[in-house]
Amino acid sequence: MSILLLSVRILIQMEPFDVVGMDLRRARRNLQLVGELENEDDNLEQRNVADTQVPEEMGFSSPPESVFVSTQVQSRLDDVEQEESVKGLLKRFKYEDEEPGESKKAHGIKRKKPTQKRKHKNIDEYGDSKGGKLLKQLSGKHKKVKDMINSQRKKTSVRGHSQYDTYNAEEWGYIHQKILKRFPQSGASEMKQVFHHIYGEVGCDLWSASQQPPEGDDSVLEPVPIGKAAGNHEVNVLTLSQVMSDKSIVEPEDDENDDSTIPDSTDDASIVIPISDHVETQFYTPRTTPPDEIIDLTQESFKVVKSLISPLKDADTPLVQVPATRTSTVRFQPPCADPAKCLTVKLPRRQVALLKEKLSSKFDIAEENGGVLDTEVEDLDQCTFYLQPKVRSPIKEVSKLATQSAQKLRQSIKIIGLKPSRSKSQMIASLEAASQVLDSSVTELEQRQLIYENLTTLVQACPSLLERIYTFQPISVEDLLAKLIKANPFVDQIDEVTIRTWADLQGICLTNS
Amino acid sequence: MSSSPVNETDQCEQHRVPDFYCCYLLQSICKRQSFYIGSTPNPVRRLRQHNGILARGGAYRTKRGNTRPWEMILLVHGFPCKVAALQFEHAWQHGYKTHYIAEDVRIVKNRNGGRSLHHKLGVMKLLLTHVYFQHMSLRIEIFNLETQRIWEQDKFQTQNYGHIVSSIMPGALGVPDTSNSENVKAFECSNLELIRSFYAQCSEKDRLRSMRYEERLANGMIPCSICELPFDYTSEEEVMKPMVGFCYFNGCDFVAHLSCLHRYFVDDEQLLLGKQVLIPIGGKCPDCTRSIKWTTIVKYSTLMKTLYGS
Repeated sequence: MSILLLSVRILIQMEPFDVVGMDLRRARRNLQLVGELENEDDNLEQRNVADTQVPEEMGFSSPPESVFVSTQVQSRLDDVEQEESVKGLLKRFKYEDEEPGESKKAHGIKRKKPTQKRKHKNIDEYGDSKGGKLLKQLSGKHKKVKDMINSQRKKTSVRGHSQYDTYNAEEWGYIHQKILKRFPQSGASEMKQVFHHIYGEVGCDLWSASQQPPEGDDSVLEPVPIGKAAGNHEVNVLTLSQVMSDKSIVEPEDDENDDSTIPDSTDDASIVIPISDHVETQFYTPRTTPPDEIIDLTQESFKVVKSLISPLKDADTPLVQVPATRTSTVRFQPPCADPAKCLTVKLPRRQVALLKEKLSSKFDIAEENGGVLDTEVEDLDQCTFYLQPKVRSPIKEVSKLATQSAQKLRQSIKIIGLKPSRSKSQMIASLEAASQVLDSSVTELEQRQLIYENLTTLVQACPSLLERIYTFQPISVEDLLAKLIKANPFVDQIDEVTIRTWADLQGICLTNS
Repeated sequence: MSSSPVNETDQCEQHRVPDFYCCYLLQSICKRQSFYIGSTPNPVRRLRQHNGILARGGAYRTKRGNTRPWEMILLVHGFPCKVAALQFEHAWQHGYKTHYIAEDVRIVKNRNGGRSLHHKLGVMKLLLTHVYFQHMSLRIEIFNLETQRIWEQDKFQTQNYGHIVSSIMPGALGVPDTSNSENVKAFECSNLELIRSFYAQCSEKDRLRSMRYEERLANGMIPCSICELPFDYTSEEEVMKPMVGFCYFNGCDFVAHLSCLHRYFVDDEQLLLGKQVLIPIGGKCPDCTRSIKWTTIVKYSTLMKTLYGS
């Protein structure tokens, strides 16, 4: 395996040049590196806590100028550190018998950000206590953290180093092709080992999962001969808010194979680095570390993220250049299909609440959630809104009636005081007629009152009828109804019992014939 | 408001509020647990029918058994039309099922219940509190002291449901002495005299008032006190003889179109109650500011219209 690995490295390195001029010294160094990588766990165990600087040790680190940790996260980290130091101070005053537990706790907290593997162990060991606690401190959203941890626990697949920035599918395909060309005898299992070395085993521990870019289209990875995996995410550092906001990570994925796909965060077009004829130039990247130095994980931090490449790859390894623009951005879609009907409003953030309060009754308000805030947004105070007038159609009212059960309709009709009818369509028709005359926004009982008021108004509008009533001249129900229906046809929809009740209330003398 | 509303019903007979219409309660003098509820425009005549003094006239139910003679212990009067009186009578007789009394406040739950005087009076009180009968400004006249006592006792606490105007007739009788038939006969006569006296009072009041109004109308052209447009009951033209309303208090000469007065009272009442009103219960005379009842105004207005207006 080592020879194969070595050859891969050499192959990659030498590709632009003549492969025959193999540098044995470099090869040895590479081997050494591989060996050290395998011993990494042991090394980590013995490592001094002070050495485990957060970003660098995580494997995705970069020189300070290119590390991007959002200020929010950074401030939280600072808080955590300060807390640690205070705790350390306080620990001196602790009782003797409490020390073991305390020290263990302190130990756990101190190594808050070990390497990936370390982290993984921590999570397994302490579960939601330590790692979870830290994440909670960082994010402040307990439920999300809990969900994340739970989803990670479900996974039984092999964990590995997804922190490496490696080759994308086509690049890997090219490498694979070359290797096969050189070593035709090499078996699939050996190829797999090489693959794992280069890509690292696809990690699914908590931290690495949090590194994953949002799930995207992974169709580009399909041509990869070995496994589907292609850890092609060019941005190894995502802000915590990015991670947290991405539901796809939290959701348990079906791990059908070990090399679970790390989906790409961007659309295909931007990832694919054309290889074909320009392979040589494409693969060349100015190296960022001194070529003759072997990186000692235990001693030093890496300075690799500048070029977004695996820190574990040898400095001599040619680096893959990744377009700097390959950042995942979430585009905001205006809420309505027709932008012409949308009103776009830009407002200072402090006025947002006011706007919503005042306009929410008339407009649908959608806020532009400006995508991923990976940089300081220039105008943080500005906020874009899309206003769309709410549509109020009478059809809606009708359909609301139509969806009600016959029993419900019958009840409504009874309460309002309309003529009872057997068929649903008749009931709907009479309720609709009522809604034309009455204010349908009030309760049914109030609608009954409105019916009474309507009838009274009708009588007041007819002097002869009014006189007949105020002189207590008895009037037959039929006569009264005929007159009222003549004045307003809607009265025909009203139940006779309702008319009689109204007449009683108004003191109208009714006779039956 | 000036012109009289076109009265389509003028084609048929002119409506007139009856001079007197009442619902009454009879109690058997001998069997004090027997009662009878009826209605009549002439209680004297009707009582005589019940007691068999007048051969003509029904009163089948009051013939049965040994219930005769009957004492009219109470009546409620002031109904603006026969229909309302009959409605009241029927409701009073069927206190267990009438729609004028809400189920939850009924004191007579079934057809055979409510046979005591307490129940009879309780049901009547409940009916009088109904909004329909409240429009009529009914009055109760009591002719028996024992009945008065039970009325005041108000066993079912129905008095809480509304304000009911009642008065006791001076010289009301007490508990009858049924030891011999002569006493019974004397008691029956006393009661009839009481009713006769009461009815005569009412009639006299009506006669005096209508005389007054007739005199007023005979003066010829009178301006409406509200809209100031004149009407003239001496005129041959019917247009000049709309219904008019008088203040019925002595010394007040207020007269106006009934429609104007109606508008005036309705506006006041709507303002007071906050809801639309078709028939006002009453109002203050615009001239003398004393409270006058709408039913009374309408009663004389329709009377004048019937006598001289058409």
